[in-house]
Amino acid sequence: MNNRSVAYLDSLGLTETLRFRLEVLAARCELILGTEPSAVFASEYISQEAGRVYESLFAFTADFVSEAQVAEEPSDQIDIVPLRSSVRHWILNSTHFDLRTAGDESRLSMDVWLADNRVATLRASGRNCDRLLELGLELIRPNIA
Amino acid sequence: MWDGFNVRSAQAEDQYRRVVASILRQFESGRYWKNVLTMLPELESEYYVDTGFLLTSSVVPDMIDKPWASFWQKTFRRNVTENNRWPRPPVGGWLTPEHWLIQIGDAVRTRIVVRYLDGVEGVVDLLQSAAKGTRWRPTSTLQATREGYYAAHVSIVGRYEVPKATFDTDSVRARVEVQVTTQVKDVIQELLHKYYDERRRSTDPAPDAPEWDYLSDAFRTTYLGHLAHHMEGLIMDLRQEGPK
Repeated sequence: MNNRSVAYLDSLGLTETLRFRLEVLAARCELILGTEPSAVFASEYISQEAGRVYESLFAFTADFVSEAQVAEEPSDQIDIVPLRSSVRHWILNSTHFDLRTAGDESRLSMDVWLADNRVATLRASGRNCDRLLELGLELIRPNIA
Repeated sequence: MWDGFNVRSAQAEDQYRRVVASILRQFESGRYWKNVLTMLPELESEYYVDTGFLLTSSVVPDMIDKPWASFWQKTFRRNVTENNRWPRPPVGGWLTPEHWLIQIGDAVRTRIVVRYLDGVEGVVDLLQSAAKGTRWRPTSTLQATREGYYAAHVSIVGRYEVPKATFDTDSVRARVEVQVTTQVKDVIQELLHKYYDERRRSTDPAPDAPEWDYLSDAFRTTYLGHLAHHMEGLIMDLRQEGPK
């Protein structure tokens, strides 16, 4: 993982178990992608009962994006799809978020529809919304074709 | 009775409230409970990563104190109505203010609610291991009664500095109880609370054969509890087997 990704994971305030799991998944994605991801994103949502629930880790390169499920170790599931010029439809749904600065109540979800009608859903809460939007602008928007 | 000490007096009630509030504060700020609250999110993560399912349905359990009326009724039941040796002391001796906080374990208590049956054991293990290196001593029991009640009870014994009636302090041993139950059982417990409460208050003997008295409250509550317990097992079976 590059320094940016390490700093990002640091910012999430994860438990040791989750931190280790995300690092393992990032390393596995890197192996499958064949190159160090330029960015990673931990998709999560807030459960009223259980607090923040991490669903999957997304890893981005210029050409590909991979998604790895956080839960149900040791049976990992990693998807990889082309990213370059492959985005057909980008849907953002936000709550309590002005798309500038996220607060504790902010929620953001992004549906990214790809050329073959596959869709990736990335979700964020709180300050993680800032990171998701940043990645959307940096990596999703330029690939809309 | 009890050396002339009128335990129903307002003074006893006031003393009980002050002592229990003090125990609650000391327990909450003590190392053991802090360990529990630190370790619980870690266990949540481990369970989620391992199974893909969420462990608990309440993130941070609050400690609560037992109301005086309930506490007093419990001592009365143990001393009198459930005391088969009456008028001699019950097994373990009279429950009196000197010892009743160790004899009755749930004057300060909380409940951790897990979503699935297999979560109970994990939380109980955590409650045991959180005591390492601390002065608190937990013991646990997995309860399943004929009446359909099931839950794990972890009883944590500790020593507390509590206020005396004379404005001095005293060092007492007391138990704090952490109940670990499932979401299904929690819902049923809430539903049946009124029945259990009435049953506890009643001086009537328990029904002889509730198993055959299908219109009675005892029948309904008992078998609802057993049914729920069985259903929890089926849920686990389904979860572990996964889709075919």
